[in-house]
Amino acid sequence: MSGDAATGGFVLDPDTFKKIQPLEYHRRFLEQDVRADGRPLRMFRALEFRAVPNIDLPALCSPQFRPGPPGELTQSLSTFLEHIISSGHIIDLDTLCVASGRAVWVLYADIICLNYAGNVLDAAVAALMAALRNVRLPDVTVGEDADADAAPVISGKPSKPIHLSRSLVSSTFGVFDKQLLLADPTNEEEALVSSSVSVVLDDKDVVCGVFKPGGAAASKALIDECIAAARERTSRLVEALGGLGK
Amino acid sequence: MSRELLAPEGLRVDGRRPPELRRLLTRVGLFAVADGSAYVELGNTKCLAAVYGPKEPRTQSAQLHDRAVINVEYNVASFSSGERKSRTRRDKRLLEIASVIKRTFEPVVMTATFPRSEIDIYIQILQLDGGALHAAINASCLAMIDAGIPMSDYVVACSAGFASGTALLDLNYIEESAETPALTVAMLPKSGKLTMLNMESRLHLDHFKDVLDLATEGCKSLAESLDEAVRKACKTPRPI
Amino acid sequence: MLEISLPPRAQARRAGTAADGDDDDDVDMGGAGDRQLVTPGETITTDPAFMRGHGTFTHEQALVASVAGVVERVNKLVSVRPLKSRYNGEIGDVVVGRITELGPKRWKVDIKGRQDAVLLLSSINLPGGVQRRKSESDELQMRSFFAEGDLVSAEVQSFFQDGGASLQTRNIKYGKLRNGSLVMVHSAQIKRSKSHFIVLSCGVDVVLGVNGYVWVSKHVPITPEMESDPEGLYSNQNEPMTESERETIARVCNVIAALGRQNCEIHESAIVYAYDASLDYAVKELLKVPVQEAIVSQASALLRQAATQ
Repeated sequence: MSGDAATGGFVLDPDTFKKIQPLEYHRRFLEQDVRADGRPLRMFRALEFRAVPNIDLPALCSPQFRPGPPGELTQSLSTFLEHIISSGHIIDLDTLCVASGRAVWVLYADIICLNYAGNVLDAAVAALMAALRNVRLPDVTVGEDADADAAPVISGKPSKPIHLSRSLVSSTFGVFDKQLLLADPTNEEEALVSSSVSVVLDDKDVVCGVFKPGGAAASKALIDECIAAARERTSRLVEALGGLGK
Repeated sequence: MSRELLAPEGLRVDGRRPPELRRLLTRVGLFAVADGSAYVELGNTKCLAAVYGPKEPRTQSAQLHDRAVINVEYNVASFSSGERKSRTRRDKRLLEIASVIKRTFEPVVMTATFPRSEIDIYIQILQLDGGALHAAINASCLAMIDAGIPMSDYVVACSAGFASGTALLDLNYIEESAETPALTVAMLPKSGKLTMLNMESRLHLDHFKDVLDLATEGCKSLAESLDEAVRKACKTPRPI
Repeated sequence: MLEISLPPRAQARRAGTAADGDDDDDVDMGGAGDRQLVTPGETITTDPAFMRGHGTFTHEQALVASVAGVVERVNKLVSVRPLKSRYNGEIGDVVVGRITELGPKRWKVDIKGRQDAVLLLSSINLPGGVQRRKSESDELQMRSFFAEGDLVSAEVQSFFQDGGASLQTRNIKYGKLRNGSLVMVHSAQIKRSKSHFIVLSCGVDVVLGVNGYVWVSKHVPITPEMESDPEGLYSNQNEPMTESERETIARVCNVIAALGRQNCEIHESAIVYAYDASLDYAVKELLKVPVQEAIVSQASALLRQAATQ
């Protein structure tokens, strides 16, 4: 996309993601969430890393979105993203735990679509993955004997990237006339297909998510076809990106 | 507080001199879907504007028989400042800013040319480092011109404040939040007329003129840059 | 010969004394040619002999630009055409639009303009045999002609008070569009000309809507019988098509999209030469920007070659 303004927040390689969709993405912010529940250290870590993805499709990006509260599409995409991050185990939880049972990172990922040309999910996942690779967490400690409400202290050590155990690639297909698959549907195509299927794969051939939000019923054979096509695309993309840059 | 904003050598917190503008970066016409679009960076403040229209109004009631209606939506991304802050679309502050921007453009846009239509201006602040209002107005102006919507002149805006006995141009976040009196001004460069003035703090009359003059000088300087950006972006369809 | 006085900046640019930005091939500014680029608020001329056209306004006896664009002078009428703007119709324009709504004795048509256009029931082609029953079944009957979502080609016949266009499809060459695909380009790229209905030698027809909507379809010859066959005129059935015919349509679509993307003027010769240049590539390759650039420059070369012969 021609809009890269060469700033710190625009880390996409334009050529690569031109294959997906023109989208710009932004840095996410991190916030520390300290849960003061007073549990002793020995207890099994009850707190888990939490990711809060939030996708926004403002009226700015297309005339089809009216100004106002987030619509169905937006809400369901946000929910799906949340699921694939949590169940996908893409982030090594050890890097995110500050003090077992007491302090863990919460990751807010905000995604805004600036120009909508169809198939926002694939682009959103790509943006999210690239942004996660860009994350730098400050080094933080929580005093051993500090009370439950004590704020963590930022040590002087340099910030570290979070370790991603896998990289996700989303491939979306529109189902036309219940049997034809249209990969990466444009806006016009989206309006004409009876349903869409999105398959999220990682770089190790593991399916991390499938999204078919209702729509016309699809045969199992069709779903298999989607998964096969998604596999092929993911492996080509992984190769092109040189191992999805961990 | 204001003593810290201006060092003894006359340098501001970001190393600028008092009458210095921040670095300006513009991109005109970056989106295919919108009728007009523009991206403006003023220092670290980043703002995007997209214009749709003139077009058929969304609802029958939202139209005027003799001219176009201008709608402005102003949004600030939750990640735009140091602390994540999620704002609902009905946030009063956002609505107020949108309203100011709408009324700034209304007298300049030749709305009588398009009765019964509407023009939507969408503004998205991506990064906040002070000067969001004037960055938004400048981006909107470029987006309107990109959309080919007729205006009697450019609408250019800039802010200025007062600290340590000196007028400061184009305030950044630190300067804005230090409770320095700050004035934002929107100007029509050809005529020199002011269409919008916005100040929410107290400033002694003795200093007001200096601050106003500095802000309008800033506008003139920005006007030249914006005009250059428009000319550069002008690409008429060429014969093959 | 009356000269429009150039504003100082443009004069300086012409004389080569002003600092220039990029030397774009796209904009013919200063020096060669007389393309005068103006921006909003800029004075075009103070000569009272000139009349103001679109994109200008008068201010204290000066003619001032209200949009950024190129100054056009036709006799005494001076106007500025913005580089990008929503389609603004003129009587006689051939447009392609999509039916969005049915109303009492009229359809609303989206032509990507400032307003939807209107197609009155009285403005469509109703062959002799059809009885127009003025009863409650009118709306039902209307849907049998054009329904929401249909694409039509039409001509702008007049304008309403509020500026909305009124279309007509009385001539057999207009009407419901079938057997093809829509390509959307910018209206500024389609110049008004005599030939908006193009028949390409590869068996594909192109309708160049001045509003930027272009219809590419399989060539179907128009016969006199069709004129009096309402079923045929308003049929929703596509002709049978071979895979090769579909591929040719897709190729022409991609060629036009390439011309669109490369910001070229789109007309018959441009399409013909670009199509020829595209034959070196597979149809889907034409979606890639470098390929688009290549075929456009090749088409350009072919056109110049033809011009010198």
